[in-house]
Amino acid sequence: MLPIEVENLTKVYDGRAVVDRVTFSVPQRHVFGLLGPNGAGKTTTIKMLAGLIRPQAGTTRILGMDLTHRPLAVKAAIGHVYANMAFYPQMSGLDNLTFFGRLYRIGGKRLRRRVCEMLRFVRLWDERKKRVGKYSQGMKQRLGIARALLHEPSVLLLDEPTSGIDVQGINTVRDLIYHLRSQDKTILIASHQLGEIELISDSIGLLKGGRLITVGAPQEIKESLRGVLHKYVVHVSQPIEDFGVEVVQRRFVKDSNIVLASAPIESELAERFGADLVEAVDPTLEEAFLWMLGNN
Amino acid sequence: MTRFIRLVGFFAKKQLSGGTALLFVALIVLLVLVGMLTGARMLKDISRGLVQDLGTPAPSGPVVSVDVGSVHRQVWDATNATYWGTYPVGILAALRLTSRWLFIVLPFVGLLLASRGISQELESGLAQSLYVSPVRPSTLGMARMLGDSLSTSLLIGVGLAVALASGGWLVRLSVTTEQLVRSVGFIAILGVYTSVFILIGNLLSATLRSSVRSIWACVAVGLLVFAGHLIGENAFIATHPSYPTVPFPPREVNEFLYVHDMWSTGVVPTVEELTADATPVVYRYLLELEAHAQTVFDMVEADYWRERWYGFASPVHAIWEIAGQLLQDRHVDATEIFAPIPPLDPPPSIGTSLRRVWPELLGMFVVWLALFGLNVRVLSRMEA
Repeated sequence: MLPIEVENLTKVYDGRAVVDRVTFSVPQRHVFGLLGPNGAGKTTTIKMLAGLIRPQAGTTRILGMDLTHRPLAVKAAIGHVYANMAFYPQMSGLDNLTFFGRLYRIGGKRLRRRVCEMLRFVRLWDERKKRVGKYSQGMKQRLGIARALLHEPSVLLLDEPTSGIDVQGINTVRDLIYHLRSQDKTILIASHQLGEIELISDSIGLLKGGRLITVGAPQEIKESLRGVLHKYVVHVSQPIEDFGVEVVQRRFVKDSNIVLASAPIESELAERFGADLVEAVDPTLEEAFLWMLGNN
Repeated sequence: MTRFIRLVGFFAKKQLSGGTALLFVALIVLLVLVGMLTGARMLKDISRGLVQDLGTPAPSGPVVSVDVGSVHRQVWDATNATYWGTYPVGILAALRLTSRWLFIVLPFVGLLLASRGISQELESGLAQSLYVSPVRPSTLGMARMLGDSLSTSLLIGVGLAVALASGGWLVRLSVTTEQLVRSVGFIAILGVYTSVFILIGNLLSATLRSSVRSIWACVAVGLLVFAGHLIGENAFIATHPSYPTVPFPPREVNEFLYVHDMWSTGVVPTVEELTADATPVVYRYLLELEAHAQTVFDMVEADYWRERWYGFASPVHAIWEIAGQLLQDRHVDATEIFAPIPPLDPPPSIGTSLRRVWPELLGMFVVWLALFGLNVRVLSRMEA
């Protein structure tokens, strides 16, 4: 039994499939990164997993439980953090957590203990009595993580958890995610920031136009592109407009021209610019993804 | 169950703690106070008018009394005061006279209080936190609707209590235990009435998913209710039948009544009560008078039921009818105006008053239930 299993998940809005037959699974204690540009269907996929919207087709199983048949049991097993978390602004952080804790059927001493633990964990203990309306977005995101962890869920769904917060806030939230990763939670994180995902994910899925175009560990994805995508650095201190061969992408960085091509062009480049100025390197994950997005 | 009750309490508290709540109470107090002062003045004028017209002693305080007169006198009264049917005193008079404006204002208040609830949660993202929790969306929705309705009823109660206490002190209103019970009962019905509009507001908020659109839609519904009421009332008045006038008694009849000392009481005897010395002219006139009374009675009764049915089309009118029955001390509806009513006839019991308006109460309850069910259905299918 896998903590997260998704099969042919489909959601159609106005006749257009925003999530189209998406299938993936996440093993226990894994961090799965769902990547994709804006509008790729990441949030819709996470919302369907959280039971916030209903799919037109497909099945979702969390800890072996079908979301359609046991929605409340599934919801009790997941924690959900989303971009720009919102709370009741007129209530304090402490009161908000207590309210949401009760929704998860936590009560009495356990609720008080968990609320205190979580407020300390997200470093909001000193601000616990302050009205949430006066919190910064970063503080709200941290409170959101506290709310998502209050009932000790085994599966965490994080949808752009660092969206809309400043650099300091991003670092704090990232630290919290690293910490959660070490706590044996199964995490599904959606983001359009590859750097953020690459650092913490065991495997990655790339969504484009609602379709999952690739799934795998970052290294596997990079290796799968060997012989398909080629990257060269041409050490010429002027931007080159014409390489004499067909390239997928070119850009000028510092004193070098970086070229991506879908066929090996090292010999053509060496002939034109000199062999000592041309260097073949592995494409980065970001370049691989951008190439994939362009090619699908 | 405990969790549901807690949720209801939470939503009620949330509604009460908002700034809108205070504004709401202030509005009610202001409206009722203005109404009470105007009403007190109006009743004083009516009392003065009664003294001039009838020569009866001025009724004390804001009281209009019913004269027990002859059949034709009562028919005449009926033509003028068919729908003035009930005569409340003290605190009930204040409530009845001032609540007419509340009937129009409360739909707006209910609609606007609920208009932003769900849509704002959807817009802010709070809905995601709520609906991702292991609570059925319908349970959350029901708790919200009950919480909002309870808190609004409480606000109406507090507003009216403050207004009645202060206004009552200003115009020196009397209050008895029964009047207080009737007032509380009526305020509770006002709460249900307002919650009908809260449910409509909730429905619009959940369906439109945008605070701005929802507020405009609620204002439109409120205006529609108001316009419907105005148009309905005017149409009703325009189609009001004109009653035939009382046949003028011939000289011989007047002489007969004078001889038999019947002018002082104003009560015309029935044909069976006539003494042996009555002439055929007197007999004929009395028969004509009874036929006339029957005609007017039928017309009044038909008109009365027409008005009752109209209450189903206009919720404002329905609550006005309920107020008319519940906020009374003596005398009942128009059809009974022909029955001899002793001057100190005790008021109908609260149960009787409620029974008289069962169609309106049932109608309101059915509408409330239907809207509640529709809300639950929409909310349980809502996507956050």
